[in-house]
Amino acid sequence: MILITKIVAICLAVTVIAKTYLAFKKKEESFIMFIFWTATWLSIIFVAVYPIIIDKIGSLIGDSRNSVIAFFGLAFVFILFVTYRIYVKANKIEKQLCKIIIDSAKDKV
Amino acid sequence: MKLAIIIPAYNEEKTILSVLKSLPSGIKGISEIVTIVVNDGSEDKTSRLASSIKNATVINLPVNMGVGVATVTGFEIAKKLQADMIITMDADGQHDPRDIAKLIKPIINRQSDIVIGVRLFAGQMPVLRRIGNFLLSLLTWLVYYKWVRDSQSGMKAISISAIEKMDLKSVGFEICSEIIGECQRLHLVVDEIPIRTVYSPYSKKKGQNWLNGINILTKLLSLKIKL
Repeated sequence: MILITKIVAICLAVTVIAKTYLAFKKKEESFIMFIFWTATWLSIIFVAVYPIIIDKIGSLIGDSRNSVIAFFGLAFVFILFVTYRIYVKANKIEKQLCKIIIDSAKDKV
Repeated sequence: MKLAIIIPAYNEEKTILSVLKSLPSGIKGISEIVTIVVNDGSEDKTSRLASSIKNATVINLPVNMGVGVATVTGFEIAKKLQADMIITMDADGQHDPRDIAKLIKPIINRQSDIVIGVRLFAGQMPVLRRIGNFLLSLLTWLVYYKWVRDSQSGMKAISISAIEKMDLKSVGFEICSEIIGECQRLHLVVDEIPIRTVYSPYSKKKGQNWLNGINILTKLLSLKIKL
């Protein structure tokens, strides 16, 4: 199970890094965003391959018990929050786009 | 009285001409008919073919926004053209224009604010699609507390005064359910009249699939909780 998780995480990370690199090359993404996503996904690969690092960080800040569970719990909450933010933002942009399109269609008649 | 026939169209080059040519030129009780084709960012010849019909007003949306935006655009144009009522029809040829007169009659007589054309599915539609339509009507009832037999029907007649009161925010296929929700919120009089439906292999292919059903569910819930 752990091996499958590692493979999936690495495949996803490689895909995202490749996509962000292509977007950067096409000048669709800035250099800073390219570095940010590459660093983020390289960290994900690192954690997937060496999950023990979470325990080590946990012991550094004083609590090594359940630190992996706490880490993934926090990650899950963070993902939910980001998903919600993106959904709200996309919804807002969609509404604005609809208004622009309908208003411009009305003006043409 | 002025009637606006609104036809949202997306990549309908195979059927748009025959649909437009089959529309009636005169209806009892109607002094003027305007046809509004809302081309929803089609990549084929839909716009060019529709523009070749003399009496059709073709509105080209720059990108494909979804049937909800195309329909609301049609409503706005109808208001601007000072229509007294509108009728919406699909561009895939599944609706029979002979039903238009039947649908607008209760509106001309001021008996209804909206008349929904109820498709007769028996023997024509695959069982799975019939179940899907029932489930979407059930979903509409659960979200808006209003039961209609064919909540996803694309053929409906609406008075312009009802449209002016509605606050529609839908982008895609959820527009059909949202209209019913608005009728319930505004206490509008809803009528349901059976209509003929022409099911060709083409129109069956163009219909909604189960993925659209899931999309409608999420969109209706987000509209309901005003996200």
